[in-house]
Amino acid sequence: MALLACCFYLLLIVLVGYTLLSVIHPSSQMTIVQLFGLGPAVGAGTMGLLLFWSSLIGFAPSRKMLEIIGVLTLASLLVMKKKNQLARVKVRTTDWEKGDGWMVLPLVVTVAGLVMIVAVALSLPLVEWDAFAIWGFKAKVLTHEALRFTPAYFHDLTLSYSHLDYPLMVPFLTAGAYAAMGIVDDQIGKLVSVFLDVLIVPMVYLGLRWKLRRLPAAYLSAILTMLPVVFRQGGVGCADLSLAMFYAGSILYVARWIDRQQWPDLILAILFSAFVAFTKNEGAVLALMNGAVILGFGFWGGRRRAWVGAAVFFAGLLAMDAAWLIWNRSLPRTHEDYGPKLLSMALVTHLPRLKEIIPAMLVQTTVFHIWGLLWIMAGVMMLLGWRALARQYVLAMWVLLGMQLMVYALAYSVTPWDLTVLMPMTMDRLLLHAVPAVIFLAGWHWAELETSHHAGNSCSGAL
Amino acid sequence: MPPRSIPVPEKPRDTVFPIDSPRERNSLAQNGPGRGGQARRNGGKREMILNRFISADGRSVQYAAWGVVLLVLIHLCWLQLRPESELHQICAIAQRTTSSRAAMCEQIDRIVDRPGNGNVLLKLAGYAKTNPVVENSLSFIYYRTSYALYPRRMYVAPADKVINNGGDILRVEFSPSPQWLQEHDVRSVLVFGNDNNGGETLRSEILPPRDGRAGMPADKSGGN
Repeated sequence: MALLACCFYLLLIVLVGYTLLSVIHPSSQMTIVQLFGLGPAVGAGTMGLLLFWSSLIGFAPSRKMLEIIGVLTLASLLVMKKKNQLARVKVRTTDWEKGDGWMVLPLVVTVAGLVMIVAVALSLPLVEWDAFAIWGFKAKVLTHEALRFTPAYFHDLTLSYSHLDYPLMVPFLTAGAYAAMGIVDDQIGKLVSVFLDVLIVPMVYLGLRWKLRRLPAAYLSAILTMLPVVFRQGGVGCADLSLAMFYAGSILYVARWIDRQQWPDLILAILFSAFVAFTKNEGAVLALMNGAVILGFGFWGGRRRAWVGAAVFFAGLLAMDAAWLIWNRSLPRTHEDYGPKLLSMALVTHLPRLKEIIPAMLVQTTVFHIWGLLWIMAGVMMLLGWRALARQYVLAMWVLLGMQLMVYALAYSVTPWDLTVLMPMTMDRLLLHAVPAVIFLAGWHWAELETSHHAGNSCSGAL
Repeated sequence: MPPRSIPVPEKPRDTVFPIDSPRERNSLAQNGPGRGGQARRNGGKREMILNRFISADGRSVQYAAWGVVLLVLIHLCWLQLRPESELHQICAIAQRTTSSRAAMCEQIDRIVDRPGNGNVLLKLAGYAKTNPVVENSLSFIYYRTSYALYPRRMYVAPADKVINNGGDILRVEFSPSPQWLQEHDVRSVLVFGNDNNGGETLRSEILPPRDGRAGMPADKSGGN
């Protein structure tokens, strides 16, 4: 029964996402991957923020609240259906090209990988340290108490190890599942974590299909699924793969905005960036970097629309995450607290540590039993498809990747922990956040090798 | 997969978020979808240098790209088939044959379930009081019991002490008075110590009832 309730909750998330996509781009055509990838991703982020906002005004996640969200969603869908504004699902066999039959191979590999991740995740309760000590603990707290009168947990220094100031996207989504089930069952509740983590595959596939043919996009997606680090982090109940999933959406739509300046792309870039900032602390920096890249490339292009886009991006991001930023300000920080350290003189004094950190990061990318040949593949693809460097969106992605790795290296430089202990423990998780950018780059450089017909015809993301 | 032959270019289509701006259409008409105007403007020098080494139009380059991707995928599949792979490890964990962590979690969850209502105090006994070797286990036990007990509490230190790991718990040497225990509704004690063989032990002791509270008879539970 609890499992069924949890599945209904996930269905509600899918519906919320579909509704939002229909609002953002009325009467559009949607592919199966967009329906089951983009829609749920947007729905999950929106649900997390909705639960947070309602908790702030005094309502902890409950069945009644989920019912209200469900009724409002259905009402919106009905109204849009009447106005013929719903996004329609497109399944057309005419889109298929000769040779796409070979997709069976990557599809089997991808599905097998995802099934393994789901099966293993659901067979165990939360056993990963961070999963129960940080994310699972917060989910329990949020299930029991609303945030209006800040729960004692958030000011209890003896629980400082659970990082009281960490963002609450994953905990709120899990608390929503507990509310739907009516009990706190972390084994079934992991379904939410698995759901979020698995979504990274369709999100990355969508980004690849923007420029790449169906077949190579499927092979690159299969590579993502088979990465040992994805197996290790998938469905364990932590927020790293969820962050990577939302981040994939954010950088994809930032790149699309830079390339085409279409408002729906900017809206999705704002939404995903807001989700990223509400998922992990690293996400706040990544969201700001997205805005900086939009602004920078807007200046470079010298287009007025691009400047306006950057202003809209920052305003939208602030509007969506303002409540979190304000509420979070009063929470006690741990001795890590990277934000102020990265903005202080400590950064300058610790710069020499980069001599140790950067080589360690480079070495990490060549640890085959974690990454396979992924990073090397991205480098080779860049060389083969070097012409893509002349495209703004590809350059923007390189800039985003470079800035992300630089910020992570700087964060290591100011950490209070012993680097020799911290880096082996955390580096694979941090570099996992960059995987969508790496795969996009590999795919977009590859797309440059494809014929003009393929490149031009591949924008739909059709399955 | 080998690349396909080059068909006739056609206008790009985008179903959900269409490419429809006149500027974009003009650019495509002038340069073709495969070569943006940007590429022409900025890439001249780069093209001349790089074309000597890598011909972007060559079929062999496309074969090379496919070769690289297939190699990476096959390598990843091979990695997962090895006995020490992530796949095998998580399967083993799921079958609970090798996961000491899952077993520890279960054991701690069982122990904290027993005392019923009320909060719990974590007490160190024997060499566990001073030996830094136990820091890791202590962290795990504290994190897990705090999670499993919530909304009840596990106390290891006064409220103003920052606890980030087992080392912090060792340094605090918390030993509250009976009155403090009563005020904080502590009804049982989890004792972390060592046995004669040097192994770590964890046992639960239920405090005798006070002030007419519905306590339970003193009991001991737990094990290695």
